[in-house]
Amino acid sequence: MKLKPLSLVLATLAVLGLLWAPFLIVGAPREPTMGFVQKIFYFHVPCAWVCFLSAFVCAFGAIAYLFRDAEWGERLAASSAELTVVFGLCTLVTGPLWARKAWGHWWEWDVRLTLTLLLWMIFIAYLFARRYGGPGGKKLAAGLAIFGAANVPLIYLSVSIWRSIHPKTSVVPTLDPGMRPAFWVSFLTFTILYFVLLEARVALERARASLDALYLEAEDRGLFDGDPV
Amino acid sequence: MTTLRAFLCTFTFFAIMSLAHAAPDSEGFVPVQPGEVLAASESIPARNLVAAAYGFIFAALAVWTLTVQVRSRRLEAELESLRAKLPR
Repeated sequence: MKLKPLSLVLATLAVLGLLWAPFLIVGAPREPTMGFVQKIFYFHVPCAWVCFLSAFVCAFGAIAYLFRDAEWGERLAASSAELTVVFGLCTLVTGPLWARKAWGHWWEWDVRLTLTLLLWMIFIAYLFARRYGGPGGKKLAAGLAIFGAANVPLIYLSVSIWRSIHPKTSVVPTLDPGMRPAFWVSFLTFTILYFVLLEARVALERARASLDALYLEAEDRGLFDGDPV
Repeated sequence: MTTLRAFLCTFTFFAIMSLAHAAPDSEGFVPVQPGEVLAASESIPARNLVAAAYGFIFAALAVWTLTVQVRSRRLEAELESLRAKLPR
């Protein structure tokens, strides 16, 4: 897997960010109500943000594929869907670890938590539909991606619309100045990391497309029939 | 006889009702007995939870990156072998 020069620069920045962020997180002031467990926030929120961003990128690619028949859109959507599942899983695992200490139990069927789980399951369904859906599988998966992304604004606004025990969206804008560097470095690091991983994953899809094209060419030239080429 | 039956029915009804009312609820709260020492409540140290959260994220990303690397190598090998079979 070869990375482009820009991707290499971004990858270096992401690695530096991942090395620097823990020091900032440890040095950030402790939250008085929740104590040390609140430190999960610095990676939990960026993971959730990247999961949502990834869902939007996936939907963008899916729309390009559905309405413009753009193959690049399909490759982008498939790559981003996989990252939505990875970062969604990180969000869904780190959240309960925080909740265990803050709320006293691992899981609550709260609107935001339930909708996030639903989003994750939609993107799992996307990957299954694309992989095992047969000839129309890619189109079906693209439809699922659009529905999945439509869920994202609802997740974001859910804490303001319905009664929820999940912290509100006002937490980040009103963050203590001492906590800001740790949060924004983590946030930026995860965003950069997402684009680096997406580039690597899209490159894999491109290679797969080249392989498929090569197989078609080989078949046209009778390579698999035992006929002389 | 009818009065006796009515009395017995009423008595039985109220006896069952009072028994049902007095029966201890298996899912209800149990009061602390005098002198009973309460067990310390279960608590997972915050450090373990934070370490598990950060560890999981790093592990998940590392595993995923590794799978991309493995898939990429397999694809490149397959591409090379197919290209070698196809005459230019």
